[in-house]
Amino acid sequence: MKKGLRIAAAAAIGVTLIACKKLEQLRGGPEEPLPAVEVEEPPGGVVLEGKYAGSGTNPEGGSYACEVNVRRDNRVYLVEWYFDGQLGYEGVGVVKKNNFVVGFAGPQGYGVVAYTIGGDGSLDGTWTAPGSTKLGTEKLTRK
Amino acid sequence: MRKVLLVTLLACAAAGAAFADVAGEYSGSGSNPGGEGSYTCDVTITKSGPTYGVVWFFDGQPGYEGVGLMKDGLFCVGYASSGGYGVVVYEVMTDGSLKGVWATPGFDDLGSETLKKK
Repeated sequence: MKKGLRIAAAAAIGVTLIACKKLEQLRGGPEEPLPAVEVEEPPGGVVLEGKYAGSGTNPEGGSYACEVNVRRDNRVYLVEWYFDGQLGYEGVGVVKKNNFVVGFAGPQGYGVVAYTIGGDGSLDGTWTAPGSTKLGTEKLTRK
Repeated sequence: MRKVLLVTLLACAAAGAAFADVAGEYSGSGSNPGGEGSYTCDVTITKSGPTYGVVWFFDGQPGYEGVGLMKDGLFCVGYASSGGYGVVVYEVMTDGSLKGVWATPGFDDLGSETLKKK
């Protein structure tokens, strides 16, 4: 095949593939069966459930210490943060890639924290809450 | 030479997609935990430094508000309303759409939600 023809053939195949994909996207809609939700497990066989000692910094400055409990309920993780022995926040979390991401809420508001899952089971996180334009940090180590 | 240029352009496009700002207006569709029904929504994402504000509208009415951050190409959002709270983790796709899974207390399974830029 001549070079020009080869390029034309490759282009034609490419256009056809794109057209098929577009058609597939157009056909997709609420009528289609819902896709199964992909569930991920923590990497390296790390078990997230357990008790942790935590220390962190607030987005606007200042630091804190906390105790954290993580439980698992089927595909969802439930998290509790204690400050001086008092429950301060509750959270719900999922695992995605190498991250444990938790939405939390309590009498003082809500927010999100995303932890990197360490090979030793420690969790190294960044977090934020409404009204803040900065990130806080939180490190959890297993008790 | 053309090939090099093309590869460079593609690499730049891929890098651009990876670091694309997720701020914008989206139309969304999702399924509730355990596949218990589906829904549609409109979502607005605004950026404020390294943090993001998210609002979900259902039938034109604001339903949930959220706060988010980017981590490893994931858009991580905590949300709340008078009806409860939860978490959504979206993967930022190369076409700019956001493909997420979500969880809320009281359900032991995950929901899904895909947002497409308007």
